[in-house]
Amino acid sequence: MNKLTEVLSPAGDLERLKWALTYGADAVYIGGYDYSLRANANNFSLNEIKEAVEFAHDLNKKVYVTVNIIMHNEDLENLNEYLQNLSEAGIDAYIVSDLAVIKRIKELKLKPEIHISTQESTVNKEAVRFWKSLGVSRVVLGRECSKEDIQDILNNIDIELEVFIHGAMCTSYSGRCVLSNYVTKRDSNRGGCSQVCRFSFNMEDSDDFQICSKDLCMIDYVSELVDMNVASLKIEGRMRSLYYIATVVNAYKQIVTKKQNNTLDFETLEYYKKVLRRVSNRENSVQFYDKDPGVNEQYYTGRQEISNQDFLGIIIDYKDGYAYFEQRNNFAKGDTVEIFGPNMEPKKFIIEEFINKDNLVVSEAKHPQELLKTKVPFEVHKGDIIRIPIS
Amino acid sequence: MSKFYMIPNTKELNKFTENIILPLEDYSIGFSRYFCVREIKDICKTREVSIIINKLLHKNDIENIKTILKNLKNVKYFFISDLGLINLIEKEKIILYQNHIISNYDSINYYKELGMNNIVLSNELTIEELKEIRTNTTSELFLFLINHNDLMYSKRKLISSFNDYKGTTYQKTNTIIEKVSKKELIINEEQSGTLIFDSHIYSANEVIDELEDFNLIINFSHMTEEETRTILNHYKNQNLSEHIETENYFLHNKIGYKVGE
Repeated sequence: MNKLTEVLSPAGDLERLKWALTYGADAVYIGGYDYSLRANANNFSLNEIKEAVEFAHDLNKKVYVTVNIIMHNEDLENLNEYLQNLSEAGIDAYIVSDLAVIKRIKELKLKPEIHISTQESTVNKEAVRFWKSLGVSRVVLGRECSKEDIQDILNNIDIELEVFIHGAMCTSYSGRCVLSNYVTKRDSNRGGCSQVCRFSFNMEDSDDFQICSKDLCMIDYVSELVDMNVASLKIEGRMRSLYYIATVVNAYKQIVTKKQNNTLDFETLEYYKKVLRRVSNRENSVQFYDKDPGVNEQYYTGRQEISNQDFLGIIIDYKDGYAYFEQRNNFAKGDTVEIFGPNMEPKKFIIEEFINKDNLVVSEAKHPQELLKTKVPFEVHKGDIIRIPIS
Repeated sequence: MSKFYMIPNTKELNKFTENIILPLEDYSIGFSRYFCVREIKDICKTREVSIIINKLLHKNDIENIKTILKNLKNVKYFFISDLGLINLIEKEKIILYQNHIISNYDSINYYKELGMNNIVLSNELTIEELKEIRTNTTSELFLFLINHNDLMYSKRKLISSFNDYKGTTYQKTNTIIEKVSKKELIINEEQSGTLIFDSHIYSANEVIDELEDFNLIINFSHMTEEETRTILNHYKNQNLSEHIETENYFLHNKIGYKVGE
């Protein structure tokens, strides 16, 4: 183990970015309004990118910006100015997939590093060698890479590798799908993917079926990836909720930290598996790392998305034994709840009562975003999360 | 004047009178016929041959292909999709075929600076985009004139998995229909993954006069004998669609990418 392995989080907007970094991400990846593959995430204005960089750098953390659409001629016009603005904003790296972007970054002699996006579906050492020859400092590998693929690259090329560990998968090799272009007239390689793989299809006399993948979850292999000296463990999902981001980032950061401190044990791993299972609204699997996916890695007849109601509230303050919080989902007097945060292990307690803003005692927290307080028998902090206990 | 290249859908090559591109067995995917090294070497004795290697190459593939390439010295061009092959093949023999990825003149010009002068353009570009690229680069440009456009390449075995799930025995090459748009697609599963194609035959022949400075590829894969015969009789003609049903969706449809576009 030579370097510390980074936990890399998505952030669809400034609020998510702050939560991700606060909850343990070492770096975040974000998109601007243009040139980013999640055109329908909220994304960041240039001023917000500057604010994001300041926030991250104050915590000694990093911000990578996706400029990873496949460029068409019309996209080239304002590219130089955009790349220059990002550099001046102080970002740490561009995540790119189009050679035109690399060309411009080099011509303009811009300071941020270049990371190759997973859109390039890089899966072997020779391709990584090619990227390195262009001055690229990191390659985000294709999600189809096996353990052997990753190890072979690390054994042969001295370069940072970024590996996806959690979140949604494409059915296709990334970058190699234009089903969205053809079926819905939305360009998948320029951020408009309409996820046609999740639509319904017919074949001969078959029932309706889908061709979409279950999600990725690599919690069982994080330890191995840290040992292999993978530089960065990437979580997918720039459009995911605050709760999802805080929970998933926190889980992986705890595991990586404990691994690096040699304190990772079976119980911790099992606990965080439960946490990740609870926060996901889709089924997940290891996908390509340990085998070629088969029948169990796909959805066929639709997926049951479970609405997650675990997120009960956010702590706003803690004074005199009372936690002041903003409600997110219903809970009541007598419920056992759990609080976790970036600086604390999860702790449980039983709700005795709530006091509302009119100083009245109430037995339920049932109004969305209502401000309430409740007695908590241990110290909590602003930004900690109240949730249904994971057991 | 355009040069034509043909990817055959049979091993009887005599009728494919233009330059031929042969899919290399085990290292290409989505074609009707594949050719092993021995076959390619034999064919090279009598005519000029290019080969296509369009699989993305994982650890064993990238190792094994080094040996295979040593046996293919007489091949004219290598159409390659995996950038790892750039380090393994003489640059002047490379034709970069990163479908859906190479879509602007700036990246083409950068590849030229890096020594790669031959580029296959993405199959979803409009005629206006193609012409603008042509104007702004001196590279040799290739594009598919007639084919079933490939729309997706997955490493997953989508039909086998579905069969395993349902206990069915659907064929590995089949037609599927997306229910809302009613778009009909060809799905084709092989040992190393699955491709999806437009079931209609794409043709850019109506603008063939504007494509004189391009090298034009005709891929006969997934076409019937009759379709093959008709195309072989008329592939240089602007009015091909009078002889066979074709479509040109991407040629004239600019694809947006944000809601509201």
